[in-house]
Amino acid sequence: MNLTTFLLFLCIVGSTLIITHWAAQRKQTTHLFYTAEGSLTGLQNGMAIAGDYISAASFLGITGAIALEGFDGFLYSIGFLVSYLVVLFVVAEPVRHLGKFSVGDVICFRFPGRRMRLAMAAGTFMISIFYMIPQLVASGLLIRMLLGIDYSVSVLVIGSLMTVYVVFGGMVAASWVQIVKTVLLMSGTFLLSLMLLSRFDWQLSALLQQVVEGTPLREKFFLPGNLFASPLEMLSLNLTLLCGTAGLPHILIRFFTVKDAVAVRRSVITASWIIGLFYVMTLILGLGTVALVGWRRLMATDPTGNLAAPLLAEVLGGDFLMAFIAAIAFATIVAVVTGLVISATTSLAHDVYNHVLRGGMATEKEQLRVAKWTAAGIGLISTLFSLGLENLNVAFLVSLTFVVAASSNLPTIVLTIYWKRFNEVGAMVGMTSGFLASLVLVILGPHIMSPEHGWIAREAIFPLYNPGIIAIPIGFLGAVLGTLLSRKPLDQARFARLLVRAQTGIDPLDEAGRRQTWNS
Amino acid sequence: MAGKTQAEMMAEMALFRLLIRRKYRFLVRAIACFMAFYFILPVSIGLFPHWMSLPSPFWDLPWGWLFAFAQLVMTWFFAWLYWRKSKSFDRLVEEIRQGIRQ
Repeated sequence: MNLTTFLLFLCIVGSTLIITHWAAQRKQTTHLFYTAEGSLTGLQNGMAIAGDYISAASFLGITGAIALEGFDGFLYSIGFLVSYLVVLFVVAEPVRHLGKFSVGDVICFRFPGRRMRLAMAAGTFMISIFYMIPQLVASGLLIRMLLGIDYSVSVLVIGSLMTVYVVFGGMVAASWVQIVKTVLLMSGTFLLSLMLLSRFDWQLSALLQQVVEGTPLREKFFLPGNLFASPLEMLSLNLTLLCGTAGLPHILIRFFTVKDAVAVRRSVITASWIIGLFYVMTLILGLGTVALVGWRRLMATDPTGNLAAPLLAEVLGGDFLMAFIAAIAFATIVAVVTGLVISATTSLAHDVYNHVLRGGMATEKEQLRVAKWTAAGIGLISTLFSLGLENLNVAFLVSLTFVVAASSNLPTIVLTIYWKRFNEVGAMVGMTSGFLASLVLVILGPHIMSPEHGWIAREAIFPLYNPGIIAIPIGFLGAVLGTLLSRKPLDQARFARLLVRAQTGIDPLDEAGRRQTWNS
Repeated sequence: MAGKTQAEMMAEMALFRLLIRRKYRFLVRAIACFMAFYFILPVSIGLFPHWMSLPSPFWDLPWGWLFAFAQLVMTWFFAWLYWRKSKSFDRLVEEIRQGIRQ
């Protein structure tokens, strides 16, 4: 690692630790730890959502996928963006109105009880950990490739940072780390895009001409069919991406950090603009990589394409710009895993400890102490796990996360909010069937079963990498059949209370109707 | 129990029922529209790759690219539509709140 890179990394680590110190100075409460006391504005939360959502896979992976596969690489990013419409239209406001700290609160508003709380906590915890481990493993591998630092050192640094942010700064620190990351990421990619376009005298046609010369695909680069051979695979991936985001607990708990429904809307709309503009810039960077770096050099350096953006930065601005982009990639990873630590901590400390073990009666001080120890434990264990997984291909876990979120969490959340006849048995069956279907289909699919690079060296039994097209309907079907077959009596009053509160923010239990939400 | 009665009474209020009817009608129509628009892209690319590769009348951009860019515009349009429509729902919610207080 050269001095410039070291100083840039130091700047990022230093500024985020200052944020954490600032956050730790406030009077610590559970509200502050889990939700930043709902003090974020819609704009700030939108930036934090984008920071939570745009992973290194988006920044480096999609730029690389566009550079290697052309049009199909760009197609990937469309699903990530449009999924925010499902979040906005279907879940965002009801989740904000019904929950307090966790997604478990939302479901348990309608189906109170330890069993349901435990099931939701288990789902949230698994999704968060499934997503965190591959991020940590990828961060170690990436930083080794970018800077030549040992894998274990990289994972330890990132693992320690995410733990420190959450333990000492809770949601306030996590949110501001994500906001800083969004500002850095957007300004870095914007700068890179401007430098690239100026290199071609702002002539898009000149850039496109150079792209054709830089790729072995030639004109086919701009045509579909380079990445997704099967139409069914493409459809399944698109369905999973569309539905997955609305089931991701680390995104949903961000709606508790703002004060009302208007701020929730503003958060999602801000996030959708940032994410959309970001993907337009990754497209420009992907094209620029092919034009200026060339397909051959990219493949020779890293056949996965993950180094496309840093290599382009090196061509455009030398070592300094490359170091800057590497530092941004580092900030990107740290921000995402920090959000996942908060989400996993909430499921264990709030749902399991406070509600399941203590029946919701733990004192404020006890809850806070347990939350901080839980965050430290989660940080430590996931870091240790990631250290041991260096040589295993765990990329399939990212795909599993989205499928589980879409097929297990989403049906339960949607039917809880909107279906009058839905009952607890349906929720349990839906969650379990969606989860098991996702797990079994991923295990039987080409991620795990592959003669060349699979954990099981044989032909895949299930042909799709993304089993969403089967698993998501199974999740919904399980929930519906569980409800209809169990024939439990309908609790009219509870559903009426949920309906009023989810759609208006007014709690009917308060007869004057003045206590509108948990936070106000 | 008083709370349950209050909840059920509120759910049966004419204004609340109007809110739910309008809101759900808007949500169902909008979700159906953006989902249809979204899925037409992978379906048409999967089933008719040749057609989607043909140049469109707009800057000779292939139809596939044009459709992909249109998804960005579509997302921002529907987000704006939701923002706009929500204001009228907020007014209804405010009327419901006033009704309870009286």
